[in-house]
Amino acid sequence: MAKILVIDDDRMVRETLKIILAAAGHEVLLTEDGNKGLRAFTEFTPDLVITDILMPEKEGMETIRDLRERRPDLPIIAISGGGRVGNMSFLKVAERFGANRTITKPFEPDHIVATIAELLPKAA
Amino acid sequence: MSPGSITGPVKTHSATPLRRLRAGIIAFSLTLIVGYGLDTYRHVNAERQEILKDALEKAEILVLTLDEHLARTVQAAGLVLDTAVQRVEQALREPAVDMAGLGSAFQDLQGRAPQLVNLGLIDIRGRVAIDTFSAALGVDLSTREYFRTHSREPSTAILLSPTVSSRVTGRLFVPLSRRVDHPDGSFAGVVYGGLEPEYLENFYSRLQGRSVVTLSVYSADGIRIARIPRRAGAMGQDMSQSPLFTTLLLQAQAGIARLAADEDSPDRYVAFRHSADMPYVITAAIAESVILASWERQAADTILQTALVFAAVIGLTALLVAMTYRRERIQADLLVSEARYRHFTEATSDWFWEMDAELRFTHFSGRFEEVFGVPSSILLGRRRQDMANPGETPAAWQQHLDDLRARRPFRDFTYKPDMGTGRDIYCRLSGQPVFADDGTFLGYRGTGRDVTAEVLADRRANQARELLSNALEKIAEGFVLYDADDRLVMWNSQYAKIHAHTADLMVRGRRFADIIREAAARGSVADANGRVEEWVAERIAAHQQPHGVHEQKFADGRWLRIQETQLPDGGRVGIHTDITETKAREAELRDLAQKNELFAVAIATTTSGIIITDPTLHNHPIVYVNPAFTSLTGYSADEAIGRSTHFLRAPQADPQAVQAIEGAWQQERPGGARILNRRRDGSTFYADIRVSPVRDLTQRVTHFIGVLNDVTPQVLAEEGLRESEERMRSIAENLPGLTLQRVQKPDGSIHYTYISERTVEISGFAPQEYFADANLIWKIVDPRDAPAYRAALEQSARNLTTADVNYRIKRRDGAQRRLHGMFRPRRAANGDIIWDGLVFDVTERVEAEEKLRESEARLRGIAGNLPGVVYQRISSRDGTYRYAYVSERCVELSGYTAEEWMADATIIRNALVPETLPAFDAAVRQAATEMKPGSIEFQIITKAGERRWWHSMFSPRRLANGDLLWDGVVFDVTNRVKAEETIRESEARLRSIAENLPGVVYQRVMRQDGTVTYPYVSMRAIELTGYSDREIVNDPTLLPRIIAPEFHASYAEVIKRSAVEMARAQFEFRLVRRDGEERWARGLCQPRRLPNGDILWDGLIFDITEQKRTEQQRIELEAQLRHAQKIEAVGTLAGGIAHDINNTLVPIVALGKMTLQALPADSPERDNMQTILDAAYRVRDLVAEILAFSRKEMPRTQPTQLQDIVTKAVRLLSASLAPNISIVQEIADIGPIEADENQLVQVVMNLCTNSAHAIGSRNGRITIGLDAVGIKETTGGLAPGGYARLVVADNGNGMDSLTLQRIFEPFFTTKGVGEGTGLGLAVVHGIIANHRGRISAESEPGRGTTFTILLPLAESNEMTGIAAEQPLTAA
Repeated sequence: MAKILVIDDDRMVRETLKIILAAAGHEVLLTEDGNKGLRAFTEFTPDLVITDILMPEKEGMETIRDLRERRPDLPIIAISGGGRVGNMSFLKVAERFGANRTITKPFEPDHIVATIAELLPKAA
Repeated sequence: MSPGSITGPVKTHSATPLRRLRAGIIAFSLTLIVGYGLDTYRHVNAERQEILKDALEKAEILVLTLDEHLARTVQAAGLVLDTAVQRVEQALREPAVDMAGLGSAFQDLQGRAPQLVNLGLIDIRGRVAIDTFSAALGVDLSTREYFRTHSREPSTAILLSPTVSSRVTGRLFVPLSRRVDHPDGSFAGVVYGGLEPEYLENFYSRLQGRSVVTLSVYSADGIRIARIPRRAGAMGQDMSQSPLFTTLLLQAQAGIARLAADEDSPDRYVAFRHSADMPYVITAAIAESVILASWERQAADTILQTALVFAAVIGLTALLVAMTYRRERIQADLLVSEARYRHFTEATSDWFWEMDAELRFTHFSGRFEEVFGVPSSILLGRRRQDMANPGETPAAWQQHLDDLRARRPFRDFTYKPDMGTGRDIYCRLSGQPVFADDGTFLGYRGTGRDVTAEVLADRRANQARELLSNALEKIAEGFVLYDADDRLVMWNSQYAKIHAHTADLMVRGRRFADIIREAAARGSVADANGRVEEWVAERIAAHQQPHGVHEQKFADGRWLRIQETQLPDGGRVGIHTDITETKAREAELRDLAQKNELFAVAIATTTSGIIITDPTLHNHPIVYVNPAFTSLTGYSADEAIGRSTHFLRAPQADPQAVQAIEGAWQQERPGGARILNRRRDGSTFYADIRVSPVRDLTQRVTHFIGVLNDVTPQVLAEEGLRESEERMRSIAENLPGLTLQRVQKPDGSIHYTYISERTVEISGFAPQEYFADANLIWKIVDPRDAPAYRAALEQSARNLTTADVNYRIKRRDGAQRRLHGMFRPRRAANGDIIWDGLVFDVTERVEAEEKLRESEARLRGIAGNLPGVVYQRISSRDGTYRYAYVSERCVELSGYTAEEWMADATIIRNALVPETLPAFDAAVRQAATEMKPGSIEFQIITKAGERRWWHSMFSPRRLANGDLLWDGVVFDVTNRVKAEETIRESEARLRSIAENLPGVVYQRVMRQDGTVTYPYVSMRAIELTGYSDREIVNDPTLLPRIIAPEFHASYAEVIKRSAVEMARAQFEFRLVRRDGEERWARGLCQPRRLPNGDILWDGLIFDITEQKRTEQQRIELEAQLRHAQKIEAVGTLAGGIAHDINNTLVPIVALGKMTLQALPADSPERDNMQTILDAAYRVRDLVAEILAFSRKEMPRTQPTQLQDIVTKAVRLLSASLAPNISIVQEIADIGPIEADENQLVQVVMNLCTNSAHAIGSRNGRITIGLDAVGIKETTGGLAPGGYARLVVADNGNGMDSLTLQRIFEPFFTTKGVGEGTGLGLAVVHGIIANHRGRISAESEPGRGTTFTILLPLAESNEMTGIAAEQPLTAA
């Protein structure tokens, strides 16, 4: 049982994640971009953050960087449907920015749950 | 005085108001003084009371305070004494009295009571047993009042005694004492303490400061215990008898009283009080003077102020009162002076009048009625301007009214009022305007006088004067009258006329002396010139003492006779007569008389015979002969006088000559003739006779004078000469010209002594006419020739050389003749210069010559006007040559004059530039040999040193003597030669440029029959083609042949179109060199039509092989670059698509999987679910594939029709576009561009999708436009050339400028979440850039957006459809 903040601009992705995580017994807060996610972060104090990379208002790299600044030990999972910066994929870059794990969309529900469990052993 | 009259300012104030004013002023002043005085008094008094009250209150307080203090002091001291007494009484109860212990106890007690100076004990005997002041021990105090009191009375109360002087120290103190009892109650002694007055004083001075209050403390029985300040003798003073004690203290416990002065004190106020607790009386006294001192000072100031105010008031009052008195006196004076004025005016004039401001008469004094015989009331109230004009003249009346209206004073207005009495009364008015003090106009006041007698007398005098002056005007002489004072009174017009030059000095009243001095000073009097003052003195003397007549000469030559007479009243009358004419006649007569005498002598002594005849008498007899006549004729005067002159004539006298004399007589004119006369002795003699009529003043002929001169010897000599002269004449007359002899006297006069008859023929004038008038010749000589003629004669006279003159004359009949005269001079013995002349009529000859000259001049004119030099050169057989004629232009051409050419024939040959000499000589030689015209161009150096090109043409002909005559003409052709040179140079230059250009320059001519030649091909042809220029020129088919076959058609087409449109042609082709190598060439050529109808192309072909290669490389590089950019553009495009699809797949995959897991193992839906999942996975994989594919894809360009691309894109779009959006296409056929079709389809689709989003759900329109434009200069990174312009415009939302700036950035999107990737426009931008094109966008919020894409047209497409340059919006 952990508090998980989800940041993704795609409503379908958010809703799907909520279903998966709730089923796994986590408390979930959904936000649609980096700015809103960062605002929610202070009050919600999540144990883990799942963030998309490509978002209109504040994209994922910057969000990851800002989250890392606020809480260096925060476990962050970056998710993306593809896309590249230079010759690197978004997810590769996200790792550089401080994401603990990266998951490609579309993903298997078990993969998400397992990754969270791996990052949050106490919560398991 | 009537109510409406003006009264003058003084009458407005009567004496009564002044008196009232004065009384008022005084009353006011008194009131002021009394009021102010009372107020001051009240004020001062109140202040005094106040001050007194203050002081006494203070004194009362002092008394109270002191009472309190004293009571406390005594109380405190009493406590000490009580203690001391207790100690002593205690000690007394002891068996042995410890004196030492008591002493120290006393010391101790005294130390506690500062108000006590000492503390002591007196034993029963009265001796001091103890004292804190040890020196007092043993002193006997038994006599002290308090000791006795205590020893006598058993009271143990504290006793305060009057001030005493210490027997030890001598200091004053107030003793306090108490009885000491033995235990049995008997007297045991007295304890005492000394209270120092100083203590009280200190206290007092603390209370009071430096006060003037005297404080006293009395015992109840009136003995003064203390006084502050201290005063000697005051202590112990018994005041019981003072009113304080006798009266006041008996009446009241406390109070204030005023005590009158006594020997001790001045008048004072005393505050007093019985002490409440003790038997004392305390007083505080203040001298009245002290209390009131400050008040007095204040009061003094106040009074002084008051006094000053009083003084001012009184002074002012006095002044005002004085003024009213003065005013009163002035008024009185005025009244007196007005009365006096009225008396005076009435005395000096006849009446007095007044007028109000409306100019109505308001008052006339009494005498008015006396004068006019009517009451003044008929005028009173009438306005001046309403009265009928009673003035002497309307102008005077008007002036009078003007004066009145302008409120000006006026004097002596004289007029005749009409009072209706019928009496003629003249009166004279003077008036002064009257103004009030404030300047208001009140009216007029003035006087009137009856001046009837004066006016009438004046008139009579004027009449008399007029009569006199009329009379004076009648006399012919000038008349002038001066009065006894020598002042000019009158003069008549004749006088004025005589003295017209000094008319300005004639001013009535001017003094005689002044007038004549001025006249003399002006120089108008001849006698006075140079001696003005002297003359004036003489003149004045003569004037003052007239004695008959004197004469005076004016400077202008006129004479004046002046007759002056003294009048009985001392005046002077002068009669001036102009006697100029008389004077002149006198002078004439005098002159005549003198001449007569002279004549008499002359006639008597002359050698000419003189006779005077009288034609008025019968037979015209001689009335006088002179002595010479007698000696000439032999007739005495007596024999001759009385006879007619006929007897003197010889019978053979020339009748004509006789007639000449008689004619003179008959016509009464001078005349003369040479007549043969007879002497008395019968001999004859020739005499020249001249007769003249003598006329009297009336021009009547009274006498004839005849003068005879004997000329017989001359006549005889002349007759001798005549014969030879006749002979000469005959010769002269027969000469073909006319001969003449002309004589010039030493005095310069000229006459002809001989002219042959032929002159009639030549000039139309007879010789006699020349004799009579030697100047006739100058009248007929043409004025143009006269100066030269005269000059020739003068020169001839000077040098005695023959004058040879050509001249024209005008004959008597007006015809012009040309004469040639030759005059040979000689000098005669008498100094005369005599010319013998011969004159020919050369008219015909000269005219012939002139015609010749004219034609020659005409020829010369032609030659001179030719652009070159015309010459004739004669070459002799000996090889020498000369110029016979050179036209004037030679100076212009060569700098040498014609004379110089002709003088030195070699001059031109020597001027030739040596290099051209051989050719020149050869040409001449050839012409001479062949006797044919020749020509040569050569260079010469002009006189000025300039190098010129000449073109000479010449033609020889053989003269009779065998010489050659060359008729030639030379033109300066320098300019032409130079121009040719320039052309040659520029051609060479052009050729050099053509040869050095990096391409092949050529000329191609297409004849009208279609055949083609290459007249010129530059040498570089060999570099490009391997064939030499010559080869190409010689074989016109060579060049087309080496063009690669695939270009034949397009090349031919381009050239054909150029020929049709006469427009520049551009082409590009590959060619095959001689060595087989292929080269790319690009060419352009410009056609022009030759005069013969052929078409000539000037063209240039250059090698672009290298360029083509570079271009290929560039395309390859760009492909690489595009590949690299795919990461940002094409790559992100695929990424974007993948992202969207993958997002969409998230719920399908994840939820599908969860659903699958949740379904029971035997659920039939499991298969369905698995199928959905498989489909989703397939999509995921497909996306990954597309991504991978797109990453590898290389855009390939090929000639593409943009309109096809647009059509394709629209077709694809229309399936997905909402029905509310319409697409409008405006597509022009622009030919192919090099493009990647797929990419451009995507471009169009992306733009349209964007537009559709911008339109949203409203009805909207997307317009796609396509046309071609030309760009002439590099703009926004685009090279000049033709471009396809693709425009995608919508009428959607539009954008603000900030958004517009960012739209091409990757990931920038304005679309909602999940609607766009932000890559669409970035991809478009990348694709357009890769196509060497440019995209720009224009938008405004609410106005829609327009994207404009420019893509280079394919090169083969450049020539078509390029419109004029159009402005492009910056991207």
